[in-house]
Amino acid sequence: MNEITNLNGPIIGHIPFMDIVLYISPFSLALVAVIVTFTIFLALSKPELRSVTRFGEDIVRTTTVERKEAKFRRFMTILCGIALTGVVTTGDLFNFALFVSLTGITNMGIFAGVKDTHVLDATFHYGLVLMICTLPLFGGVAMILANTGTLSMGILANIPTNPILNMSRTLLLIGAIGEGALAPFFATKVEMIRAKGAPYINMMHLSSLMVFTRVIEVLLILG
Amino acid sequence: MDPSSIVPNLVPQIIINFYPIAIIIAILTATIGLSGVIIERDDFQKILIIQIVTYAMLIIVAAVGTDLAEALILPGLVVSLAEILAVTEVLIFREYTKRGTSYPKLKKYKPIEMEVIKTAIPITSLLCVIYGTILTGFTGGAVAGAGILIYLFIGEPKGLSHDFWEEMSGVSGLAWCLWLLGFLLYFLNPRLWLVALFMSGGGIIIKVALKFGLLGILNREEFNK
Repeated sequence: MNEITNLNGPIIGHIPFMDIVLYISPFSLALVAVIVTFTIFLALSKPELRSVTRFGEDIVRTTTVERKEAKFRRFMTILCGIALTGVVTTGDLFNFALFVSLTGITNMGIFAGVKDTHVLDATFHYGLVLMICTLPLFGGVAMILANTGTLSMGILANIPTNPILNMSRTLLLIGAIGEGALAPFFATKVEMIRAKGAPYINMMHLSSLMVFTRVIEVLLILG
Repeated sequence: MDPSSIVPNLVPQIIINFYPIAIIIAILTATIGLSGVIIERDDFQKILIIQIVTYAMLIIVAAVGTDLAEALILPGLVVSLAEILAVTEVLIFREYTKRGTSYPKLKKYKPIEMEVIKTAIPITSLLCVIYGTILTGFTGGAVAGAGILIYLFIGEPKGLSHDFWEEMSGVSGLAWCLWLLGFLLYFLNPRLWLVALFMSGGGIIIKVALKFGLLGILNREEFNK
């Protein structure tokens, strides 16, 4: 049985950007292409005009998004795209954790300006999950650092695994799942995407997808 | 399992011995923080209790004990602060939306009524400033700033107009530039380290001290009207 141990293929090049070591492989190049295309598409599109039908009345109402609110949400969407680019290209484990939590914060920012108590309530609970999940995310990274003495993914790929390293990887996975609003924590996401202003809130789905893809790659690199 | 295999050899033995204890303390701290989800019903209390979880994260990072871990604490702290700020903003906005208002309705605050502030000796502030000047750096700035703060709280400072404090904030900004220039000089020409050290140390003491002083003046001008 062939075991999949590496998703990313040959590394094409490094981008030295201060101490954030970014690297490019065919895999990350494809993900960056998706993110950039999606972000540009969302940044250029206008917010939706949603019509609401009321039961018991013969009325269809059109809701609008205020210009100021739409601007803020677009800004947060672009920030989220930048954070996601960092998530998929970084070669440093701690920077990966930082970018993942930045994605979570910008995700929350997209919904923070919605004037709907229900959506804001869900956003608040998502924020609580974010705060809790910094513990396994950064805790896992710190335990990997304590175990191996390095945070570079290039060096970590050559270090054989052991039980404590496996536990740290599990913690990292739990943290990334919480920050990206994935499977056990996605109840809040379902409530949040009921917000009006459709194109921007789609960024949340993309960030979930990208964080999930990238964290699987990171786990395979560490293993 | 042998503890020395957990942490590489570049860490002193005493830190390696403390590592399991630190992890246990972090887990206990996280348990206290997570109890907030179950016990607390008030949303604001929930945020305050859950923030303890992020302290547990800082403990785990700090337990590693290398220089790298020390450098990682600050980004971790910033992330946790950014998260609590964002969550609090969402909570505030939700409460406004619920009540249908768009601006805060704050209660009128009274000035601090503490006997110790009225009866303290003004020379305490002078001593604080002198001691802060000897200390220099960030700590010294904080001590000297506390001295200025005491002076502003206890006495009736005369002759210090509003414009004076405006200028002081300008001086604070310039001192910060001095601090940055000191750092830059250190990186560009390490042989001038003494000059760079004095620039940075002097800049940061002026900046921090004046910031504390501005805090005091804010208290007097805003609340004592």
